[in-house]
Amino acid sequence: MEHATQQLGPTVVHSASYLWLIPLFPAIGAVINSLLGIRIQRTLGKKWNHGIAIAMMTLSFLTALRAFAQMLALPGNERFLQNTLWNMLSAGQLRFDLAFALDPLSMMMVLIITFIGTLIHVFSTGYMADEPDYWRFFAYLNLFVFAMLLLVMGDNFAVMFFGWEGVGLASYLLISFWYTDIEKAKAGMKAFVVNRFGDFGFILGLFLLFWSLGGIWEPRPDARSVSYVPEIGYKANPAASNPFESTGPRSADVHGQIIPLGPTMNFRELRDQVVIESTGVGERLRHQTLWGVALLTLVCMLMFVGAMGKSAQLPLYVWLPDAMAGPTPVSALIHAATMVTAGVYMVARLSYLYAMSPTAMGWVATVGVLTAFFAATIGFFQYDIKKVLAYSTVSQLGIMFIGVGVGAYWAGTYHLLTHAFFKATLFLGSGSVILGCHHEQDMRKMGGLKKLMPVTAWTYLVATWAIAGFPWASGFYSKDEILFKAFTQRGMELFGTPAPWLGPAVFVLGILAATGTSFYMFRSYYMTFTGHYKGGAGHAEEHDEDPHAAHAAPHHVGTGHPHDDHDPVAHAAPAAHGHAAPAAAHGQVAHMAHALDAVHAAPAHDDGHDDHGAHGGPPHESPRSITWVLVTLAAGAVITSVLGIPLLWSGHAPILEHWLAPALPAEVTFLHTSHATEWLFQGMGVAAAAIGWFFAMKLFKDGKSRVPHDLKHRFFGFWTLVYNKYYVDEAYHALVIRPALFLAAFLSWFDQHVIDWIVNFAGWLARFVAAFDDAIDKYVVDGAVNGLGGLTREGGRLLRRIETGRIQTYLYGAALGSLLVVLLNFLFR
Amino acid sequence: MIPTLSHYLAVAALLFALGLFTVLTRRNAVAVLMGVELMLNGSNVNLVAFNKFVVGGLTGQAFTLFVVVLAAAEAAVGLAIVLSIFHTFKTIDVRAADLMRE
Repeated sequence: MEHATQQLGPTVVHSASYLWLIPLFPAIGAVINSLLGIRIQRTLGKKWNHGIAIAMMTLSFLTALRAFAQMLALPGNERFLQNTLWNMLSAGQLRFDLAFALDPLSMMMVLIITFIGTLIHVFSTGYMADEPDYWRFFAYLNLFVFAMLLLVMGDNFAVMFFGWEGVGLASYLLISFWYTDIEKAKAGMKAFVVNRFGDFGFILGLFLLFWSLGGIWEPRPDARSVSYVPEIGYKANPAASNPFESTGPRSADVHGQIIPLGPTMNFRELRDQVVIESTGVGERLRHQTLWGVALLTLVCMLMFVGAMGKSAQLPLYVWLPDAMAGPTPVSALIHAATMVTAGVYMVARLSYLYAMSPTAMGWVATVGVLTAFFAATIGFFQYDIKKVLAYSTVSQLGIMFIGVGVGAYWAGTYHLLTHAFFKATLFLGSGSVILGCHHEQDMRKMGGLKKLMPVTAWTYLVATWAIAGFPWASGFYSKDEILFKAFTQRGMELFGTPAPWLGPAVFVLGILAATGTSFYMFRSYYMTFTGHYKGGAGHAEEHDEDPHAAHAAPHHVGTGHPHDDHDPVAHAAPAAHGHAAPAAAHGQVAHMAHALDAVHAAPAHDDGHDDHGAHGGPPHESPRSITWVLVTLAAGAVITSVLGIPLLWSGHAPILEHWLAPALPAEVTFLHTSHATEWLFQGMGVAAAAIGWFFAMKLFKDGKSRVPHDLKHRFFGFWTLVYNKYYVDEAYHALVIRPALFLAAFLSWFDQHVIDWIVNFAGWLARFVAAFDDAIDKYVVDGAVNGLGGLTREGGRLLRRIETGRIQTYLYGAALGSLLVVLLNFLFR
Repeated sequence: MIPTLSHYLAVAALLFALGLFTVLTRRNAVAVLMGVELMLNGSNVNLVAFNKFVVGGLTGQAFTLFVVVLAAAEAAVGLAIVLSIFHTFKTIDVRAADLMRE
C-alpha cells in the first residue's frame, strides 16, 4: 500500500444526479412483472416477461457504464459520485438520506452485478423456459438486483442495510421458488433464519459504532467540528456544489473544509473523520474500551458476524449448500456471484476500521481460512454437482475473507471479482448440464458429456482452470496475491495477543485449501464430462454404499419406489432430521412435488423418476441463449486476469489495485520480501493447483480408475463423516434447533399455566372492579343526572304556561312591569 | 282659568292610558293599531307641554312632528302586517296569531 504514508484529505464529492436510475430500473422491472406479469404471460407470452426484465437490466448496466465513464474522467483521488434524493429520517443526531454513492469499490460491484446479472437473466430465458411461473421468477430476479444495488450503492448504513435485508428476502423467495416442494421451502426458510443471526450481529455492531462516535443525544465534549485546511493545490469540490461558481483561486477559508464530527450513518463522513488523523476520531476509537474490550474490535467483530451470515462463513455457512434448492441461475447470481460477497464488500468498505484493529483482522482471517479449508474438504466427496459448487463457493468466500482479513483489501476484492466470473460460469455450466441431463444433478449418472455438450464442457474447463489457480486464468492472480499477503502479514492479533505466526499459518491452510479446490473442481469436471455417459447404468453399485440410501431405504418401502434414490433432497430430510414416523409421508410429499415438477419439465423428466434406466433420450447441448452466456462469462474469467497482473510481472501495480486505492484508505504494513520469494510463492500456488489436478486426473478421468472406490472402502468411516458434511447440520439440529424447540415447548407450558393464570386473574379482578363501578354508575351518577334532568323538565312544564304566543299577554307583562318599576320608584326614592 | 302643566299632563296620561287599554283589550288588530296611535298622541301632548312649560324653543314641536310622521309610517307597516295576518289566518283576531308559541 504505497499511498499509506501520505496525509489523506476529505473525500471530494462529485454529484451525479442520475445514479438513482441504476437501482430504479430493476425495481421497475420487478414491479411490472409482479403486478402484471401473469397477465402479460397469458396474453402476450413469456417473451414479454423476460423482455421487460432483461431490458431493465440492460438499461441499468448502461447507466452504470455512464457512471463509469464519468468516474474515469475524474482524477484518481476525486472518484466519488454522489446523489442524494431526499432525507429519510432525522432524529437527534441520527440523520440519514436516501442517497447513493459510487466510489471505485462500489463502481466495481455495480458493474459486476449489472453485467453478470444481465447475462444470468439471458441464461434464465433458456433455463426456465418450461416454467409455468415464469413471470414470478423474473420479478424476483429483478427485485434481487434492485436490493443488491441498494446494498452496494448506499451512501449510508441505512440504505446499505435496506439492501442487505432486501437481498435476504429475494434470496429466500428464490430458494423456495418451487415452494410446493417442502424441502425447498424449508431450505429458503433456513437461509432466511440463519441470515437473521448474522444480521443481528451486524446491527449490534452498527449501533455500537454509532454510540462510540458520540451517541444520539449528547455530543461528546471533544467531538466538535474542526476545520481542516487542505494542502496547497487542493481544490475544494469546485464542480460539484455549484457549476456556476467560479473555479478560480479562492481565499483560504473557502478552501478550508469543515469535517463534521460525531455520530454518523454516512460512509463518507465516517471515512473522513476516521481516516484524517487531525480529527482525532481514529485515535479515540482505538483507545475506547467497553467491558475491557477495545470498542473498535467489538464493532468490527460484530459487523463481521453479519458478514459471516451473509457470506456463509463458519459456523453460519449451513444455509448456502441448502440454498442450491433454488433454480440454478439463482445459485449462480445470488449464491455465488453477488449476494454472498456482500460480507466481503462490507469489510472492504469499512477497511479503515478493520485495519485499526489487529484482533479483528486476525479474527476475520482465521474464520476465513478455517472456512476455506473446511468447506474444501467437504467438496471432495459430494456427488451432487451443485453441492460441490456450493461448498466451493463457501471455500472461495473464505479465501476472500483471508484477503480482507490480512489487509490485502484490494486482493480480497479482486478475488470477489474473479470469483464472480468463474463461479457464475461454473454454476451456469452445471445448470446447462442439469438441463441437458433432464434435471439430473448426480455426477455419478453423468460422464462423457464433453462430446454431447462441447460448449458447456469447454467453458466449464476454463472456469475450472481459473478457480484452481493456473496462470493466465483470473483465479491465479487473485488467490496468489491473497495468500502471499497472508504470509507477509505479521501484525495480526488474536484476542489482543500479538500472533505473528498467524499470517504464515493462514497461508499454509490456505494453500492446502487451494490444493483441495483444484482437486474437487477437476474431479467434478472429469466425472461430468469425461468417460462414458452413465445416465441409468453405473449407479447401481454405488447405491448400496450410499449412506443416505441406507438410511432412507426403509422409509421408502411403503411408497413403492425403493430404487428412487437419485433425489438427494428427499432422502436427506428423513435421514438427517430423524423424523422416523412421518418419513414415508415426506417421501410422498417429495414425490407429489416432483409430479408437479414433471408438468413443467420435459416429459423425459417424468420417466426418469420412475425408472432410472429410461432417461428421455441422450443429453443434448443447451439452447443458444445458454451457451452464449457461458462463453461470455468464461471469456470474462480469463480477461479479468488482466486487472490483476502483479507488480512482479509487469513492473506496474495491478490495474485494479490502482483503481481501488482511493476507496480503500486503510494503512496496513506487510513484510518486505525479495522478488525471489514472490516467485517462489507463485510457484507454490501453481504447484498446489497442479497437485490437485494431477490426483483428480488420476482418480477420476474417464471414470476408469477403481482407486476412489477402494479408497472409499478403506476409509469408509472417514468418508461417511465427510460425505455427511461432518454432520454439521445434525449438530445444529441437536445443539440449536432441539434446544430451541425445547425452549419453545417450555415457554408454551409457561404460557399456558403461568401467564394464562395471571391473565385470568387479571380478568377476574377487572370484572370485579367493573361490577363495582357499574353500581356506582347506576345509582350515584345516573341518579344525579336523572335528577337534574327531571328538575329541568318539571320547571319547563310549569313555565310553558306563561308562553301563550299572544301579543297581548306579553303586553300585559310589559305594562305590569313598567307599573312595577314606577311603583318601586315611588316606594324607594 | 289658565291651563297649567298638570292639566296637559293629565290629558296626556288619560290619552295614553286609553290607548294602552285599547291595545291590551281589543281583539281586532285594526283597533289595536288605533290604540297605538292614541298612545303616540298622548306622548306627543307631553312633548309639546314640556316644551312650552319647561324647555322653551321649538324642540318639542319638532320632535312631535317626527313622531307624527313615524306614526303614519307605523300605521302603514302595521296595516300591511294586519293584511298579512288576515291572509294567513283568515281573521284579524290577534289571538289567532300565536304561532310563536310552539
